[in-house]
Amino acid sequence: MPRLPTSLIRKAYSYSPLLPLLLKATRDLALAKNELRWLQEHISSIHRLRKCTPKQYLPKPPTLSQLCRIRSTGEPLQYILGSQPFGDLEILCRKGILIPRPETEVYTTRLSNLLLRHGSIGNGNVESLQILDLCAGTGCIGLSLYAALHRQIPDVRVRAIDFNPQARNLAWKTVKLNQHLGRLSPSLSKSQFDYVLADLLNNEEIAAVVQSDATFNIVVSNPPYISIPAFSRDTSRSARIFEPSNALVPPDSVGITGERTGDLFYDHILRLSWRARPQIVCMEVADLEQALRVMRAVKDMEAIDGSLWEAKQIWRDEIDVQGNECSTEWNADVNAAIIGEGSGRAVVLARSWGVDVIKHDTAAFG
Amino acid sequence: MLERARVIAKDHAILSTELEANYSPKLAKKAGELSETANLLKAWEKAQESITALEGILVDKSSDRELKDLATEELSESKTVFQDAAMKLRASLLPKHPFAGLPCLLEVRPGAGGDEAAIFAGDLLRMYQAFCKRSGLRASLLKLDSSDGHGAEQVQEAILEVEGENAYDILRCEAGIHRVQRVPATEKQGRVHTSAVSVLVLPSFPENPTETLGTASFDNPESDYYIDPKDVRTDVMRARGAGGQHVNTTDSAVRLTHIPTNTVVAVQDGRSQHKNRAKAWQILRSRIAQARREAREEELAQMRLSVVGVAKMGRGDKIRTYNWGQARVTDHRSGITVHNLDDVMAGGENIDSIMQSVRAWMVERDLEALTADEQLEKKKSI
Ligand SMILES: C[S@@+](CC[C@H](N)C(=O)[O-])C[C@H]1O[C@@H](n2cnc3c(N)ncnc32)[C@H](O)[C@@H]1O
Repeated sequence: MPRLPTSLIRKAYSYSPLLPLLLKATRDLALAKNELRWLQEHISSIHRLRKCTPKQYLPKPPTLSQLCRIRSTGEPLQYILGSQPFGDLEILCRKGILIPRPETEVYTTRLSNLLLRHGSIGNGNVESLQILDLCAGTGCIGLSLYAALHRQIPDVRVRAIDFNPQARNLAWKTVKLNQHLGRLSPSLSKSQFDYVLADLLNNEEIAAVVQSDATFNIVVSNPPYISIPAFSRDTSRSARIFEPSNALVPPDSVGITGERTGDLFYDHILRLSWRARPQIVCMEVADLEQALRVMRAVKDMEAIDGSLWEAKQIWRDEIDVQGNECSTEWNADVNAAIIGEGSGRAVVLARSWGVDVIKHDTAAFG
Repeated sequence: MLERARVIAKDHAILSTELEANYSPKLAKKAGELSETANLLKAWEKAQESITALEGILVDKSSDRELKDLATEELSESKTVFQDAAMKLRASLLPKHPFAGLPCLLEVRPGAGGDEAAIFAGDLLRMYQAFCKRSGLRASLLKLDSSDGHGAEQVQEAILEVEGENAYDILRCEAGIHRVQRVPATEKQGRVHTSAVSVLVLPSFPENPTETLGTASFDNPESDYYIDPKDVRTDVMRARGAGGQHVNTTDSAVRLTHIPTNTVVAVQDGRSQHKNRAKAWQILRSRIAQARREAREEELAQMRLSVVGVAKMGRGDKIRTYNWGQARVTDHRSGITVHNLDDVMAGGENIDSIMQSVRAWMVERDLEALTADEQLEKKKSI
C-alpha cells in the first residue's frame, strides 16, 4: 500500500491532532473527519447514558484519543461503535461476525423497491411472502427486506440460515434493538424471523432445516465468495485481519484452484433454489467475472434439469435503487442483461411473477 | 394600487351577494381569497378617514387646546395604523409566492477572503441558528463542512433546514452576498479586511408534495419540482478497489448528478447511506426548482426593464454589510442601518428590524414589477 503523502498528514493534523490516526485507517481525509465526528457523538451518547444509570454499573467511558488509537490499528469503526445502519435498520456489529457492506445495501434496497413497485404487492393484494436468506450473518438482508415489505404484505416470513451461533444471537439482539427504535414491528417473533443454524455445504444438515417440500418466493444470499488469490490481493488489511475469514473465503475443496475457489457456494444455493422454486433468486458476487461464471453454471444446470429461469440479470454497483431504468447491455453468451455501472455485484434470476418484478420499468408504474 | 384594490373589493361584494343567493364551494373559495384585500382596504380607508377628520380638528380655529392636544396624539397613532394597513394592502395585492408557506434550506458558503470568509460564514450560520431559535423556527443542520476541528468555526459549506410556518417567506430576503469589514482574528498587522459570504435560500419540498403543492408534485412533469429519475446519476461510493466483501468501509457517501444541468449534490455526513440519499434528493430538488424559477424570473425581468426600468436584485449583488469598526449593519436594498451589531450577530431583535425592512422593500419591488407586467400586457393587446 502506498504511503500517505506528508502534506495530507499535516493537513489532517492541523484539523485535529487525532485526525492522522483515523487517516491511517481510512486513507481519505473527508472520511476521517466524518469518523472523528461519529466517534465524538458515540462518546457523548455514552456520557448521556451514564447520566441516567448509577455509575457503579457502567465501565468508565473511553476517551476520544483511546478510540482513535484503536481505530488506527485498522480495527473497523463498526466494531468500535457497535453497529452499522443498513436500509432503515440499525444492524449490530461484533467481532467475529461480518460487517454489512454498502454494496449489499444498494442491491437489497433495489430489490425491495422493485418488489413494492410490483402492482399486486404494492397494492397489498399479495397476502404472504416467504424469504430464504442463506449465509445470513447479521441478518441484515433478510431483516431489511422484512422491514420494507411488512408494511404492504401482512404475512412476511424470513428463514435465515448460517452456521455461526454467535451471528444468530446477534441477529436477535438486532431485532430487539430495532423494535425498541420503532423500526421493526413489535410483533416480529420466531414465526416471522426463523434463524436456524446449519452448514450450507452439508446436505444432511440442510435437508433437516429446509424440508424437501418447502417453497420460498425469494432466495437471497451473500455467501463467502473471495477466492484464495483474491484474499491476499484484493482485500483491505482491516477486513483481512479483523473480520472472520470463514465469512469471506469458502473452505478448500479438492481439485479447485485459482479464482474458482471463490465459487464454491453458488452450486449449493442454485440446487437448493431448484427445489424451493422461488420466483426470484438474488446472490451477491465479487465481480463481473464471477457473475458470468455463475451464469454459466446456471446454463449448465438448465441443460440437464430443464430451464427454470425466464429472466436473468447481473446488477452492478452503481445502479438505481428506486428500480428505475439504468444503462443496460445484453450478454448473449449467458442470456443475461447486465445493468448499471461499476463492478458486477449481484446475480438475479427470476421466473413467473418475479419476471415482472425485475423487469418493471417506469412506464408501467404509477 | 388603490384602483386595483377597489376593483377587488367590488368583485368581493358582488361575489358575497351571489353567495347568499346560491352557495357554491368554488365561489366561496374565491370570495375567501378576495376578502383579505377587501378587509384590508376597509381598514385602510377607515384610517385615512380618521386622519382627515383629525387634521380637520387641528386646522379648525374654534377647537380648544385640550381637544387639539388629544387630536395630535391620536393623529400620530392613526398614521402608524395607516402605514401598516397600506403595507399589508400592498402585500395582499401581490400573487402569493408559490413557495411562501414551505420550509426552506439556507445554504452558507464563504466567497472571496480565504480563512476570514470561512470564519464569517460560521458567524452567519450561528446568527441564523439563534434567529430561528428565538423565532420559534426549527433549524437542523443538513450538512456541515468545516475546515477546522474546533466545531463550526471555519465553515466551507453549511446547509440549514428550517421548518416552521412560512419559513421560506421569512428567510428568502437573506439570499445574496453578505459582506464583512473587520480586522480578522488571523490578521497580525491590525488591517481591516473585506470578505464576503454567499447565502442561498431555497424552498424545501416535503416528502409528499401533492398535499401542500396541489398539482405541482414530484410526479408532474410540468412542475418545477419534477425531476426525471433517468436524468439523475447516483454514485453510491467513490472508487475503492474491489468493494463488496473485500473492504469494510464506513463510507456511505451518496452523490447525485442531474445530467441536463450538471447539478451535483454530494452528501456524506451521516453513517446511513439511506439517509444520505434522502437528503441528497431533497437538496437536488430544491436547487433544480429554484434554478428553473430564477430562469423564468430573469426572462420576465428583462422584459420589464424594457418597459419601466425595474431592476431586479440578482444573486451576485451584495445585499448587506457588517462593519465591525463602526459596529453597524447596513442593508443595501432597503437602506436600513442598525447600530447594534452584537445583537444582530446574536440573532436578536435587530435582525428582525432589518429583515422586516427588506421584506417591505421586496413588496414594493414586486408591486412595481406587477404594474410593469400589466403595462406590458396592455401594450401587447394594443
Ligand atoms: C459474507 S457473510 C454475509 C453476511 C450477511 N448476509 C451480509 O450480507 O452481511 C457470509 C456468512 O456466511 C456464513 N457461512 C460461511 N460458511 C457457511 C456455511 N458453510 N454454512 C452456513 N453459513 C456459512 C458466515 O458465518 C457469514 O455469516
